[in-house]
Amino acid sequence: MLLPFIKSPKIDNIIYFLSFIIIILAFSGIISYISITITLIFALILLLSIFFHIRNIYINQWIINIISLFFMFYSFLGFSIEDIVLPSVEALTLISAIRFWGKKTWREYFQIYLLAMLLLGASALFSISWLFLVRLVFIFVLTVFSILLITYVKETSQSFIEKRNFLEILTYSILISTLSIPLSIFFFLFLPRTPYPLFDIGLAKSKTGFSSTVNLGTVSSIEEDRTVVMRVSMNKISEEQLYWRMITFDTFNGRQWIKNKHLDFNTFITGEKIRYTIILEPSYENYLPVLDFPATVYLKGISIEYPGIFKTDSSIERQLKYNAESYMNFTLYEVEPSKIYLQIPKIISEKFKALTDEITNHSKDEREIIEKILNFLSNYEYSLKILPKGDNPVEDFIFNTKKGNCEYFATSMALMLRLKGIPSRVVGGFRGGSYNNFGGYYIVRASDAHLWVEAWIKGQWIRFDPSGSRPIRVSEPVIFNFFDYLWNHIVINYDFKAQLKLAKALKQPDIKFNKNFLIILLFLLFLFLIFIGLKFYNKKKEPLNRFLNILKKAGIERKNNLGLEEFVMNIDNHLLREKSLRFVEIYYKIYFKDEKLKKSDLKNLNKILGEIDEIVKST
Amino acid sequence: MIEKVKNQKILNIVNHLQSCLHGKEKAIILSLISIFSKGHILIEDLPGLGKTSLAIALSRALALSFGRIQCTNDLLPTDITGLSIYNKNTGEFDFKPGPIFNNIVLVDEINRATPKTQSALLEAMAEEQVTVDGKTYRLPKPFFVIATQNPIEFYGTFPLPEGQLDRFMLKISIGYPGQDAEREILRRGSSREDLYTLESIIDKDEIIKIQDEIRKIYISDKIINWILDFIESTRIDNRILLGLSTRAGLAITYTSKTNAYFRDRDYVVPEDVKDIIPYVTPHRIILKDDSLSKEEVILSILEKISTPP
Repeated sequence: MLLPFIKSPKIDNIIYFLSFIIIILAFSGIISYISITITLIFALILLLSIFFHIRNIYINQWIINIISLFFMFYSFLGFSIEDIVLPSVEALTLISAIRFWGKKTWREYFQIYLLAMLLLGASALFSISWLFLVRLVFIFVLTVFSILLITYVKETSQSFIEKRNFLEILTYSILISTLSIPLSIFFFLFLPRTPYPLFDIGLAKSKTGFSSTVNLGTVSSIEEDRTVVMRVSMNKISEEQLYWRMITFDTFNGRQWIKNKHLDFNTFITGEKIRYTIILEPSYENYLPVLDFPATVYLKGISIEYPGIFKTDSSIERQLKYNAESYMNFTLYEVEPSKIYLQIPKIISEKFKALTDEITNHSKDEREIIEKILNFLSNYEYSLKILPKGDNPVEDFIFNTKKGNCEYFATSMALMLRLKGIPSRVVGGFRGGSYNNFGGYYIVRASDAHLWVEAWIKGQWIRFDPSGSRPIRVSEPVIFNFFDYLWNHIVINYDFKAQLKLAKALKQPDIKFNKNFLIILLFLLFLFLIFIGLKFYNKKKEPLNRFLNILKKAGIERKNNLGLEEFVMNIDNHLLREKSLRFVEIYYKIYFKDEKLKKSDLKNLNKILGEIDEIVKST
Repeated sequence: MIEKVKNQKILNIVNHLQSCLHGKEKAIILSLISIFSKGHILIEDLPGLGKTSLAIALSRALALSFGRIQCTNDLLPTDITGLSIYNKNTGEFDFKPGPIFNNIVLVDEINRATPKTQSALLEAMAEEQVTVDGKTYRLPKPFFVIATQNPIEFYGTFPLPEGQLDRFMLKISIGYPGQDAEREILRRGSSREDLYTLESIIDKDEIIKIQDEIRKIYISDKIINWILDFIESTRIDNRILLGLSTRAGLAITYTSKTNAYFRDRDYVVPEDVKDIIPYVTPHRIILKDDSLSKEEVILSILEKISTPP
């Protein structure tokens, strides 16, 4: 059934095909955000449209409009104050698809292209990935190409196109698109930008990051999420050191970890400092991930909540770039940790306590207790599925399912340590990350979210990772991530501040010579433009051009091969001919005697032109 | 064509000639253009359409001497140039000038003369001098040849080669007179008698003066460039075997100037050139395909180049 459609080389089909690709390209940007129902309807409409196209069936315009209205209505049934964007985008998607049903005149196609552009714009509301640029380029080139083809059809009224013409038009469309690049760059560099997304409302909030509480079993949904949480521009360090600290929990109530202790600690750290830059994606939380153990974060409007825990004043709703310093191979001292690190929820049963004692039996010191607990937990299976829930998930994990993720491992270990009188806490953040050798940065994804344990032994807090044995990804599509990094680094983060920086850089005195040079250049350019403008203006004002223009208005146009006199002699209107002849006579005399146009001549000529104009207007 | 002639002197001459040459207005004007451009004219036409009358009338009206050469295939060069005859009394050779020693020379049926005679004539036309027995005689001034040839008589003719046709500034045909003019001719009878009694309206010095004035007429580089474009186009046109020569270009400028003078202007405008080109150029080109009309080809080329300004 598809065969006749593909085989036929009609321009109509080419344009239809191009429009199809354009809309699909635009749609690809939002497909992962809209509901599956809408996607299905969209696909169905497009498939039907192919059928209609082959069979030359056109749906009436008013039916399409009614269906469009229905789609809008349908989508807005799911409308809520928090989320007005998604229904709108869904409605837009369907409306753009239904356009394919109508009789395809150039108007229809232009509507489709406009809708495709809107869809593309809408996709930027959901994600600011570099793929946006790729889509934009393709849609732009294809749209220009398609519009040129439509124009070609309109002008030549041919329904087939030769390969040569086809290629020529394609070349032109690429050329036009390329020519628009400098202009876009200009706009990009100099147009004012808002530091926040324009439609910063109602977007589905990202689940990455940690809130001030962690319910057991919640991180699992994150762990399969491959969204990039942050990129860290730094030198490669060893795998064991890649712990990104975000939040510290001190209290466990049986089901969730919460954080109670505030700024009354008494710690100090030693270690070697390293400095790096983090580009954090919007997390809609307040905590900043920093490499363990954090020393300083260079960012305004942040506070230290806990030792090594940095918090912003407002939730992070746009990409954030900050420099930070951390201690490598650190030692974290605390003289006398708070009693809170020994808290045990009442829900913990005697069975659990007995098990702990059993495991740690005959231990000489804390070190050995920890060894034994770690050893015990290493027999448990790491899993993201079928996680223990219920009233007492930890004991469920230890005694029944024996499967769990980092939350269960960390919680179990912390509780066992506390039962044995070793102060301990659970730290939330990310572990690992894949290093991009091209760009020299780490990518940390939502799936890298992690919880680990810190235990206080002999005045030091030491990190233990009971679930540490789980494999860390090694292979990453390096080159695309690199594009992603560049896109974010150069384009997305380029904001008003960067513009100011650029402006300041231009004013710096050490490029004074360049500045003068630039001024001279600009001045020359200015003069040149004035010169061109004047020339153009004069040319237009030149009596002959005025004369020809006036006659043109009267529908009398000169062919190039005709002498002026010949041309004028052909004018039917007697009066007009006489006046025109008079003009030509005077003009010829000046022009062909190679004389300069004197003011009096100009006046004379303009007078005649005025009269000719009168005649033309009166007829 | 007459409506464009604005110069009063010329207008007088034309009107004067028209009184006895009915319906030959165009031929008269073109002949005058040729005379004042110091060029010669070739009239290709059927017999009995008044070629001779035109020549006689011109000579009378312009107060010029008139000579006539009727070409046949036994015509010798000396029959044109004249020859030296031994004078018994003086014991010397006296030069007896031939009919070419006149201001206006009518060479009738030039294509009947042998090539040898033709070249002698054409050489005289080009050099404005005649060499007989090693002595050079200058031809009178102004000197103007009206040659005629018969287009349909091919038997016993020696067609002029293009190189020699190039020496004629204009090639025209008189054509049949209009019905009114023809009726007038029939009513009055042949007016050859009248022709010989036609009074002169201008004298030799005046003609030379006008000729000099015409040479001074201003021609802008804009026009010259345009003419050059035109000539170049004829050379590269694929219908044409032999394009226009530089001499052709010169002929165009000379006749254009004369045309401008006739129109009472002291500068050349494109129309002056365009109007004269169909008479100056067609006989100077050779087409690859004889079935085409030379004039049509020239006009089509002219249509392709844009006219200044």
